[in-house]
Amino acid sequence: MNSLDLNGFDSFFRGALSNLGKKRDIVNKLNVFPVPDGDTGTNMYLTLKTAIDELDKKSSKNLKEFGKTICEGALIGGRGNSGVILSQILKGFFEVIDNYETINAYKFAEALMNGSKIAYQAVIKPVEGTILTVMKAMATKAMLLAPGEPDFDKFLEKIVTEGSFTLSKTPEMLSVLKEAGVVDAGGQGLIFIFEGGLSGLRGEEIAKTFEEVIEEIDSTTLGEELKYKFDTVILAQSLECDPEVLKEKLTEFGDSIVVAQAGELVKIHVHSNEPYRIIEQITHIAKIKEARVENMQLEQEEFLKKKTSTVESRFPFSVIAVAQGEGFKEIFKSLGVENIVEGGQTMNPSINDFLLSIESSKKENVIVFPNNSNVILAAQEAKKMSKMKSVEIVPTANMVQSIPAILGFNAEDAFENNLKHAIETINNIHSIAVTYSIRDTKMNGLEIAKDDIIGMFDDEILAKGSNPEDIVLSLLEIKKDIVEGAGFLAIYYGKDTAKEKVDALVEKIQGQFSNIEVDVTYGGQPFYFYLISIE
Amino acid sequence: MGKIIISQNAIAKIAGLSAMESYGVVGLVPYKFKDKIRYLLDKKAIDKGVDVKVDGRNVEIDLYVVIQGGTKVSEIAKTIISQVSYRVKSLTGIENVEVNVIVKGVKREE
Repeated sequence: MNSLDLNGFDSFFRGALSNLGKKRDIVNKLNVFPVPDGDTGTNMYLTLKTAIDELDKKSSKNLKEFGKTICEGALIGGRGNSGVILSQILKGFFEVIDNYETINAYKFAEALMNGSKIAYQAVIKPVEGTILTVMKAMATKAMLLAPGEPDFDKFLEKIVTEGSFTLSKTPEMLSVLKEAGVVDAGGQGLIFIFEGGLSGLRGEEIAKTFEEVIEEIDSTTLGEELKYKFDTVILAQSLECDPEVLKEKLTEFGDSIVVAQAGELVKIHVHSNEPYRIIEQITHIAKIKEARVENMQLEQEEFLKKKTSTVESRFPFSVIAVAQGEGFKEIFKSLGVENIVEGGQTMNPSINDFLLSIESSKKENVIVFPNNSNVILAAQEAKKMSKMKSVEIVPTANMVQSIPAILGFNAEDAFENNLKHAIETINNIHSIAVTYSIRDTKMNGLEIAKDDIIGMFDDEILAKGSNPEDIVLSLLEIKKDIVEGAGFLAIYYGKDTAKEKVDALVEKIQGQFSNIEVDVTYGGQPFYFYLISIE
Repeated sequence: MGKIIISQNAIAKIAGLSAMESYGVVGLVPYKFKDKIRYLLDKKAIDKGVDVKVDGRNVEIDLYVVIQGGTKVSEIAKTIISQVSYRVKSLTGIENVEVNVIVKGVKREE
């Protein structure tokens, strides 16, 4: 192979997406801030995913259309800093490709160079040791290699090697990386994109597994009105006809058809209203090993029932809160929260989760508490998409902030006043979070090792140690000024924290700060030993 | 211990320079002239593009920026906010910092 055509590019980008999807957690962990909520990998993945989803929506006749579609998708789907940079790289890359139908190594190098140039253009003072540096290194190497390496596979492989080498040097270029002991996250993401692209071109693992494909199909049908009621999955042996022919034949019974061959076996997935007819058809042309039929209608109803709680809001508006941990869910329910969206640090709810909760709310006006800074965006998107409700978002960064805000709601007062009051309330609350570090790093002059217990005051890491209770005490000591001026401390302990330890801690706090009222509740949250609000 | 006094001007410099380092920012424009004169500020005068309001221990910073065309403006603005507030907080030790971004222009793509 010495050039790339439309199909080649398609394989490249699908391979890239698949690889980045698998490895995004590795990228997420490279975030310089060491709590378990890094998201560079996820941001880059979602940016690229929107671009490829666009490709699936519009079929492209030529490379020009392909480039236009992918660039538009990346622009709209751009998330986070790295996502924006990725969209710029793609824009520059496809600018060069423009009217060509096949791209040789030389043209590819030129396109990489322009991608790097356009990406650099958008920043006046580029910081080296980032995704930009890695991109530039790969483009420069490509320029050098192009005249002497006509074989595309080897050409690309050498570019990736150069990129990885530059990536390994990023800590020497950027001191924050060195301090944290990591390479640049965006740069790593870029390398995964190219590695995946290369495997895609080689025909390695581009195809998603059958399970991944059907999971995707089935999850998008949730929440919509169903045209076909039954989800049918059949596992069969010795298929007598061509899979494509079978696929064609199945279209008369339903949609969402996937036929995948896995060695001897063939896996078939169809949504239809007459599953028995499908099974009958297949018995004629293959040996059925297993067949599973599920009524999606019932699943859907149950799903909606679960999402729509029976709690009648005690306010003239509906309240939705994101929560993780049994204790917190109970607290929110008792406070009159109508819908609880499951989620938190490690599992961010999707826009669709919010939308479903919002649309199924009983009242016209809806207030949403995202309870995590990474979740606010999804809530905002859902707000925009909601057609039936008037939605307002109170941008809470954690669960403990939202509790006093909900307590302060007054059923007699107007919606706007309640909203204003909630926002004022969250601005006056300080919070403490005690968790563990997911890797070695340096932060605020603290040398933090993996699994060290770390304490944050208003999202800033200020203490580390080996004992969660000691961390709480030292944070209170560090922020003595604030704590002494406050009147109320609410402690929510996590699912891995023993009650005896909590009691001992409370005694110590009361000894040190005699004027403060301390309240203890079981939060049941994962990852965080303690979440504390200070009012 | 004695007092530390940080002038609004110093905060404006820190915020302005850090905004200029943000990805997607083409430059800052002076906030006082509103729409009459639109030119990109030189690095030395960067504080003219930053409006700093101090209220007790709270600082509110308004940044008047021009952004690179063909990019997702909302994401760039979010990056500016987090980068600038992190910088100002860590360099000055002020805890309550609110950063607002006012996009005064988008630079045309070439």
